Amino acid sequence: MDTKNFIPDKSEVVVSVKGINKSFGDNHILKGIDLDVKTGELVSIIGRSGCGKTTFLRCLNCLEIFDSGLMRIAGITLNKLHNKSTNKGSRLQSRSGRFFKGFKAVQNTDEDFQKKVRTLRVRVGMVFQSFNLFPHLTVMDNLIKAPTVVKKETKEEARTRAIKLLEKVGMDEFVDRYPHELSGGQAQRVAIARALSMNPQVMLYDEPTSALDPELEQEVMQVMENLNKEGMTQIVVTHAMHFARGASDKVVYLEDGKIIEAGHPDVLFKDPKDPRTREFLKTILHD
Amino acid sequence: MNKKYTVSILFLIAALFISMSLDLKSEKKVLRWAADNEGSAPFINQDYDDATKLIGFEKEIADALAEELGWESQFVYNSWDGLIPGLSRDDYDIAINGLEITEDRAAVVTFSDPYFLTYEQLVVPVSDTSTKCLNDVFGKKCGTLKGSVAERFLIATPGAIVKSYDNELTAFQEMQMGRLDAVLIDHPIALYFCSWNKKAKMVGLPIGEVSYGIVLRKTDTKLIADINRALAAIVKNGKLRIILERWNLWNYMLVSHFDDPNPSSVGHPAFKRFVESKGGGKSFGETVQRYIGYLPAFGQGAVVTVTLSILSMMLAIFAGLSLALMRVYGNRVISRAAIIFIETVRGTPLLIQIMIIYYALPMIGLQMPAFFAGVIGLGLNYAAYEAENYRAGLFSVPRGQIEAAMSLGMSKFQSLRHIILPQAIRLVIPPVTNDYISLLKDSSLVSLIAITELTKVFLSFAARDFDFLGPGLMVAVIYLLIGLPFVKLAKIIEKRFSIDHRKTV
Ligand SMILES: Nc1ncnc2c1ncn2[C@@H]1O[C@H](COP(=O)(O)OP(=O)(O)O)[C@@H](O)[C@H]1O
Ligand SMILES: [Mg+2]
Repeated sequence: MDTKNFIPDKSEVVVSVKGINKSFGDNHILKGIDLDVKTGELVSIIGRSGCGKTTFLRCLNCLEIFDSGLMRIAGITLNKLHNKSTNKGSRLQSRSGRFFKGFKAVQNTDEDFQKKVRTLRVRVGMVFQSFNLFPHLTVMDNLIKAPTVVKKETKEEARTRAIKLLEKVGMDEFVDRYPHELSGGQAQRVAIARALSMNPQVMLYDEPTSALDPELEQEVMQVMENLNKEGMTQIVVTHAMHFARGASDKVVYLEDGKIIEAGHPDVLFKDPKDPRTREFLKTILHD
Repeated sequence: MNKKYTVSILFLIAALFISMSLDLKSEKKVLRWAADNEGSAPFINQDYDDATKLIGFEKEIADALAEELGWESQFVYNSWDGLIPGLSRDDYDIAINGLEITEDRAAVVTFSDPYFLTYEQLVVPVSDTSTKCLNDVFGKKCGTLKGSVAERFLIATPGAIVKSYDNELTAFQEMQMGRLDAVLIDHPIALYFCSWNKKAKMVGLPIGEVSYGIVLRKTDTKLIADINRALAAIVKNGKLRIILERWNLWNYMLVSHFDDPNPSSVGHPAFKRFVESKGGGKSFGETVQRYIGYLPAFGQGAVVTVTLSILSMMLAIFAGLSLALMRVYGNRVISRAAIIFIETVRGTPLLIQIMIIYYALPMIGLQMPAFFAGVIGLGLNYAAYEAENYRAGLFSVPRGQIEAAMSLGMSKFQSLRHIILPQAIRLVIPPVTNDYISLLKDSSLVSLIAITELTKVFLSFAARDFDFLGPGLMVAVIYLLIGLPFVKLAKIIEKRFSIDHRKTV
């Protein structure tokens, strides 16, 4: 692969990924993923459980460091050519247990790389399936912690913006609540607002609604659709086919660590080209 | 947060002052003399009326020597067993506390000329009419002090079953409970004990000869000359004889040793005062009066115990957190070092650790005042336990938390500081508060290294007044009372944080 001449296809391409590989030990999970996402696009990633969706998303904001390939996200370029040092990372991971996985992987790369990673994370927001709100902080403090700590914003600045974000997700009446006092849908909307608090250019969602009751799903999906209208670039891993079909600009089908097919939802859902996509859609839509 | 820092800094400054005042070296030349006021009369004790004052014939001798030299007299407390080892710590220059001049001791320290000569005395229960001298103890159980001259006499006595004790009080109590038939002990102790205890009597003639000397470091050749000169002076001007007479300790040996046959007219006022203090206190009212007299000294002891335990706990919390972070986040070497420290400290007795810090570290040039040694010993010991608390706390914060923090652009350190630690600390506050209560109780162990805290105060009253019951109950109640606020605090905190803040997260 010619890495020197790697330039995003168009200026409006905000996420560009080429040949991403990721293994956990001998387990080859991502097998050369290429993906371009343009500014303002909502891209849904679908696929069977275990096919590597979460791993891919975590690579995008460096909670896992990919083994080889190229990423250019929100103006930050990361490339690694068959770098073996991450294997060392994985060994340390298993030594210190579940908790510090993300840590050690990053720790073992050089300082420049780490700096880039942190800038990247500021520009890319992440929403987790299990919300991961900070339980010891109120809704407001969940939103202003990172801006004040990382960007050194004053509390006033951060609060003013936090209120606006909470209004956007319909949670402005809950500023003083603690996470355990919120319903799942409310917690996830706060989590989205928290990710937005760093003013990201791209938002990543890992199955944002699968921990929610069906009647609460909609309020979260609505938030993502609104953000889409405002021009936010979003990548959503989802099992909710109606959302992938109705709300996305592009759907990506992932199988066994490879992108099998990508395209406009109308095309992909109605007329998938690859038999594997067809097979998957058949099982999932007829369940 | 800032307030908390201010408070801890204030505490540290207070501790510094306390330790400095313990270590004060003034301009005027000072005779720093050590003794254990936990022994029985007549050597050195707290005054019967004012427990903050010291009395005893050895105190008077030390003061007289200082006066003769024109120096300031300064008492330094140390436990009796620690008197000779403690010389090397340079906390004091001489020790004067019934130390018999023996060859074993003379091998490690310099002895002054004897300041007192006495003999061994046999003591038996009043009911015993058959035992009249040492020859009568054949087949009987005889108690004495460990390592004393009397012990050697007993061992050499045919048929005597020798039982050795750490202090005379235990030996006498064993005799009163019928577990011993006789006690052989230095005459002054026997004399004072039998003066008030109507169940014991002295029998037989003086046995052997014992001389007490002042001990000094072998290197202090100048000081030994000064001490011997001052001693000779107070012998000559009669001061020593008057002191010993006042305490009813002047005997035929001293007459010939100091060649001073002149009878004097001072009588035995100090001895009489002792007997009176014992004779009184028998009625209920007088006993209560005596117990009330303990209170000021107990108060001082309680202040030392509380200050000591709070400072130790602060050290434990701080060092424990550092150890936990080193263990969990440090590289291989740092993490190993933390583990070794934690396991070593948890696997060895606290008492040994305190002894090492106080007596062994000075040998490699690490000298610190007793109070500091106590804080550091207790603090580092508890740090090892706190570290394990924190580690459990750190691990019980779900991994998603640090991922969420880092996905927002926080560095490793920022995530720790703002997200992980606050949650971990909430989890460990209840066990930490409980540990403080154990630390408060364990702080009694530092009474062994010359810190006059609660337990030490209790022990010296118990020894002086041969009364473990009253002072014992009092000190137990005081420990309960000063621990109570923290027990309450632990309960409140436990309640407060038992609300699960992570249920739906
Ligand atoms: N940290 C890890 N260590 C080892 N294996 C992992 C790790 N994370 C994920 N995997 C494995 O990678 C594969 C893909 O996982 P994941 O990306 O979570 O799939 P998906 O999100 O599509 O269900 C699974 O087989 C999983 O067991
Ligand atoms: Mg997944």
